[in-house]
Amino acid sequence: MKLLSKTNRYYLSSVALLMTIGGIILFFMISGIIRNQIQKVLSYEVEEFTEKIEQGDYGSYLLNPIEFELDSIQKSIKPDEISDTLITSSEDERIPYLQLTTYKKINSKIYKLTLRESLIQSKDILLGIASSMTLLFILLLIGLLLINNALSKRLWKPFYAILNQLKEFQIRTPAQLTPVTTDVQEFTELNQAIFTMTERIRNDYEGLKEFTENASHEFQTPLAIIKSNIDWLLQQVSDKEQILSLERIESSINRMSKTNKALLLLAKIENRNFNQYENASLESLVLETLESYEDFIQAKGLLIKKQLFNNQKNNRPVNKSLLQILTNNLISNAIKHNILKGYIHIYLDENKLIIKNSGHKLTVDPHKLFDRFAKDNPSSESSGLGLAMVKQICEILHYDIKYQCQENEHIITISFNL
Amino acid sequence: MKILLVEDEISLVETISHYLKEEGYLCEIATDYNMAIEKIGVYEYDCILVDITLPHGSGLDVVDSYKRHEHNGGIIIISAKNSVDDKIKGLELGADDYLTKPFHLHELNTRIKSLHRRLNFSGERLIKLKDIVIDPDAKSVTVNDTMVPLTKKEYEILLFFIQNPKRVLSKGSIAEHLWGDHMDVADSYDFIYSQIKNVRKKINSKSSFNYFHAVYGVGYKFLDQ
Repeated sequence: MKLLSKTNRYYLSSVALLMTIGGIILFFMISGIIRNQIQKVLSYEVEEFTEKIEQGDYGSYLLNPIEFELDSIQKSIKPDEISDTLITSSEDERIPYLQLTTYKKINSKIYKLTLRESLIQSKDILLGIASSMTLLFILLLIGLLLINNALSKRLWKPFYAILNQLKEFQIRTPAQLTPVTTDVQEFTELNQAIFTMTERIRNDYEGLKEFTENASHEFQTPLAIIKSNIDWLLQQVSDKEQILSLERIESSINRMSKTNKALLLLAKIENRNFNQYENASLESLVLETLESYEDFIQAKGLLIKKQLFNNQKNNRPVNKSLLQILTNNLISNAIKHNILKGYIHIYLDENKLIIKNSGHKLTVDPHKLFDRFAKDNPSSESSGLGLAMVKQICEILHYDIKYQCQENEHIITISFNL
Repeated sequence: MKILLVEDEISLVETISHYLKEEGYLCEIATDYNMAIEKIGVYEYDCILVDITLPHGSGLDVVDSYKRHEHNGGIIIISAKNSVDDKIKGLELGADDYLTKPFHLHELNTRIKSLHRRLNFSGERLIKLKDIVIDPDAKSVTVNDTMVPLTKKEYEILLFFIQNPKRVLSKGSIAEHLWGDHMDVADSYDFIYSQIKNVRKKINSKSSFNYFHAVYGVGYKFLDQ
């Protein structure tokens, strides 16, 4: 729920509550006042009525038997009594009356006088009050909502500006947040806090990225020393066991330096070290890659099927090295994780590149393989970085990548989002 | 043949220089930028091997300075930086080759030899060993004066072996030389064995010598006996 509708909801309910309470209080106050007035009228009429009876004038009593009632010959004088009563009128309508019963001694006889005054007028007045209150309520409500909406939009403007910037924030792009100018202290503080926070996050991220690159870098020279010394030792040693042990060291070192190389390359891709753009044709890159793996394709007896639709749109300004790594990693994966006498189908048009290959059934979720060091077979010699690189490159080039595995067929689809 | 090795990592300097001396090269050493500049200012070299990151300066400046001295020798950059930019910059400045650490010593040796052959126009163009003659320009091989047709990879294998004779060449270093990073794709080294077996068969059928010797579990040795 939006903040505005939430505040509106609170406003509405509190105004409704206040208005109802106010209305009830007003109702009781006004009806009290009216009763009071009618009572006064009644006592005044009693005096008048008594005077008239004293003079033998029964006119009003006879003319208006509802409002003036007279019972003669009472035994004693009782105190006055005020009460409500309903009287059915000639139109069969029950009308509320306020009645005053009083006892008067007139001409040495005790009379019981009952005077009534209709309350129908006060009912009308109350109805009027209620309807004007409702009207007021509605007007107030509309006014409040309008003011609130207009104010909120104004007051919260800097907040939404900050929010939008946060939504756009990407740790990998160097664009800084532009401070939002506002004289509201809370927003200035929010602005400041977010600014320092994003800077800190970015610095940490930069540091981490550099760390990976520097660390892999630092490994290169020691690896070179180990490697060259093994080469040297291999020439000196003639004992079979020692040679085999050296061979094991060598293959481990080779594996380590391959992983290190891949890690370094991945760090470079992540660090956006590929900034040069040129026109590159994916079609020719695919063909080049296939050619460079010719020996391996033959050795495994793989059947290659190509459907490459060259289109001018395939020539787009991209970093050629990135595209090269992309095709190389995808095709080498398709060869490496293939079966003997398997197949590779490569389809390329202006919108997508699809690489389908036979292989073993995956035991893990295919998309997990985009993570660093993720392998389907943990004991395999591969670095587990190839697809992580592909994923990174797709992110940089704004390509979508999908990996499906149906039984023994692996399908990687890259959509270019032109 | 005189080589200058410009590298600050002492252990690496020792191993490389030892290896190069065994190969019959005269190897001099500079362990920082100033020393390198001083040496190339005074002496002539057939080849210099330069690391990019050096104390007191950059290896790229050494390359630049070497070229401005109008030396004729070749330049191979050996760097831990596998950066395309550095590679391009180095080659633009006049370096002839770029080798990324870590590398096999046989790989370095092969690169030095082929570079030397390329630069040394007046010298012997053909590579000869007993009854084998290789013409690097035509990429052709003759044994006992008969042409031996080899595939591209088989030719490269023979060239790599003949340039590193009497050395134990591990399958790892052979694979790396021939296929580089592509070798990751292969499930095993069986792949190399079959390729080497083919060259061996082709050469042996024409030659009176047995050049290829398997070193149990490790790789091969090329012997001229």
